[in-house]
This record gives sequence, structure tokens and C-alpha cells, in this order.
Amino acid sequence: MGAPRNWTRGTAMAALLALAAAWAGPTAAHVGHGTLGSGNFIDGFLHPVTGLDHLVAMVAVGLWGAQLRAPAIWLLPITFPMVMAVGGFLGLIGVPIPGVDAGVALSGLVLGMCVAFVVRPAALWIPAVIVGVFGLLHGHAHGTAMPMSGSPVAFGTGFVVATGLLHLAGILIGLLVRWPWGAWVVRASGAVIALTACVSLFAMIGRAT
Amino acid sequence: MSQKIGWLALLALLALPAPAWSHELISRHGAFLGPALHIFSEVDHLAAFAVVGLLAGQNTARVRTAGLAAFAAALVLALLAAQGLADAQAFDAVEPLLSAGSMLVIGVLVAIDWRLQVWQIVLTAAAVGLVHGMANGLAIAATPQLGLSILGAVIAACLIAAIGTLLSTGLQGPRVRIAVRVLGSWVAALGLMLIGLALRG
Repeated sequence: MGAPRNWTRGTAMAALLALAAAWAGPTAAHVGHGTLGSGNFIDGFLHPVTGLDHLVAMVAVGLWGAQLRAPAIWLLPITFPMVMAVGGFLGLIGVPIPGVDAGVALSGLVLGMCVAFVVRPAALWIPAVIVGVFGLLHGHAHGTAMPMSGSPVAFGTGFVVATGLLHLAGILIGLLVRWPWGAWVVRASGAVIALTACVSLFAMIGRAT
Repeated sequence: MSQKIGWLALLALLALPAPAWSHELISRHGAFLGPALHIFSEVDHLAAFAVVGLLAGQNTARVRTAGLAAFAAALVLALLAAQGLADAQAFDAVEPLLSAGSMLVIGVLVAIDWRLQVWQIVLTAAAVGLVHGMANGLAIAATPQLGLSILGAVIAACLIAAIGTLLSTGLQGPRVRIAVRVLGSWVAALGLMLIGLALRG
């Protein structure tokens, strides 16, 4: 029975590759249509990856999910993009959320601390609400950054995919918790994330004053 | 069963060299390839058709077949109906909203792994087929070889839906099924943002 199962798995992989390749076409097609930063897939993809606040917070979501284990480990990456999109939607139609930048910076600090101290809330809805609120803020930041020139669709696809892949990276690192030394590596990662966010917060306060 | 999957995999492989050509170039590719390439080169068409396939693949064989059949039938019907449509502007105005709305609804259904009745999947899949069939039908309304253009659009759309179906039927383990649900949540997120874009104008 093993062979057909592998065959199916292989086929699914081929389908995934085909789908990814099909996506690469339209998303890259708009490169060069305008000046740099005109809003294509790469710009959208780079927004969460190069924005340090986004990067560390998304990895922290994955790490915390892995620490909390099932069902949080898969519930967070499934619900997060949708909650983030609600924030992006509000940002796009021009509904202001006060303190988005501070909130985004704060998200890295809070989530990093949760990972560093292995905070395990009693009920699943508590981390869901915490992550959800931060997701809303991150989405709003992406939404207001969304360019109207170039291809906003490709830009949106880029930042959704990048966010998802950052969660995945966090979850993969977080899988180390099954070993005692790995659990410490994950906690240390959380501490590094919290520190990074702190630096970013102080920089923000410095600019404001 | 595995033979059937093999054929589908072959179709999936044929989709691999999906090109990165933009509209101006596509119009030079002729009546058949032009519309087909257009579908592969627009993210909203791609995402909508792929997620219909993902949804179909999450459900039982009977529901899956009904959904895919309804999708293909509605697509062909709308492509033909668009040729007789006098006022295209009215549809063009609401098309982005309808298209994004269908992505949101189906993306959420995939994300929450909702098991559908036959009539439910027929309705949702047919709605996507209708909206995108109308949009593409209007776009090719002026072409001389209409039959070929419709054929190209239908084959491309069904190919993408088939790849989506393969993905979610092929990934059967409890953990990897979650990957399909995550993909659904990505499409839902994209749909919601496209609604925002459409409203912003």
C-alpha cells in the first residue's frame, strides 16, 4: 500500500510546484512596469521580511504556536492571515487605527516575552485574541503601505505569502521544543525577539520626542 | 485511481511553463492561447480557480465531482452569455467586488475545512464560474475566432481548478491537510483586501 500513497504525495507535490510556477508568472510580470517600489509581488513580499518589526513578530507567532502545541500550532497560521486582512481592509478603505506603529513594535515585545517565559494561557481564546489584535495592527500597516500604482493585487499576494512563510519559519524553529535543549533555544529566540522590539520601540520614542 | 491521478499530474506539469507575459504580449498569442495565458497571468483568476479546486478536493468524491462540473458548466455558460450582453459597463463596475467576494467566501470555507452538501458546492462553484466567465467573456467579445478563445479560457480555468483539486486530494495526512487550509486562508485574506481595493476605487 506504500507505493500508491507515495505516488499521491508526489503528485500533490508536483501540483504544488505547478501552482507556484503559475503564480510566479503574473506576480513577476509587473516588475519593470514602473519605477522601483511601484508595487509588485517582490515589494509586497519584502514589506514584512525587511520591516524588522513585522519580521520578528511573525516569527514569534510561529514560535508561540509551537510552544502551545495543537491546536494552537495550526489555528494561529490559519486565522492570522484572515485577521490581518481585516486590518488591511480597514487600512485600505481609510479607517484609521490610532497607534499602529507603536502597536506593531509592541507586538514583537509582547509576543517575544510570551515565548521567552513560555506563557501558557488557560484557554485557547486568550492567545487567539492577543495574536488577533496584533494581526489587525500589522495588516493595517501593510494596507496603508499598499501602493495604488503598479499591481496592488500582486503586492497584497506578496505580503500575505511572506507573512505565512514567516509563521512557517517560526513553527519549524518552534518544533525544537520536543527536546529539552531545543526548548531553551526557542525561549532564547523569544528573548532576542523581545529585545529587538525594545530597540525598535526606543528608537520610535526617540523620534517622537 | 493512481492512473487517474497520473493523468491529472501530467496536466499539472503542462501548466509549469506558465508565462510571465503581460496583456500587450498576450494579444499577440492568438485566439486560443491568448485568453488561456490571460487566465494564467492574472492573480485574481488564478487564485479563484485554484481555491475552487482546493474546496472540491476537501470534500467527498460525489460532492467534488458535482462542484467541478458546476464550475465548468457555469464558466462555459457565462462565456457564451457575455457575447449577448449589451451593457458591459454595468458588469464591469461590480466585477471586482463579485470576484473578490467569491475569493473571500471560498477561501474561508477552505480555511475552516467546511464539508459541503452537493447543492452548496454547486452554488458556490457555479457563482465563481459565472463571475469569471462573464469577465473573460466580455474581454474576448471582439475577437474573430470566438470558439477558439472560449475553448482556451475554459481549458486554462479547468486546468487550474484540477491542480487545486489534486493538491487537496493528494495531501491526505492530518498534518498536511492543514497546509491546504492555510492556503485557503491566504486566498480569503487576498479576497478581503481586494474588496478593500475595489471600495477604495
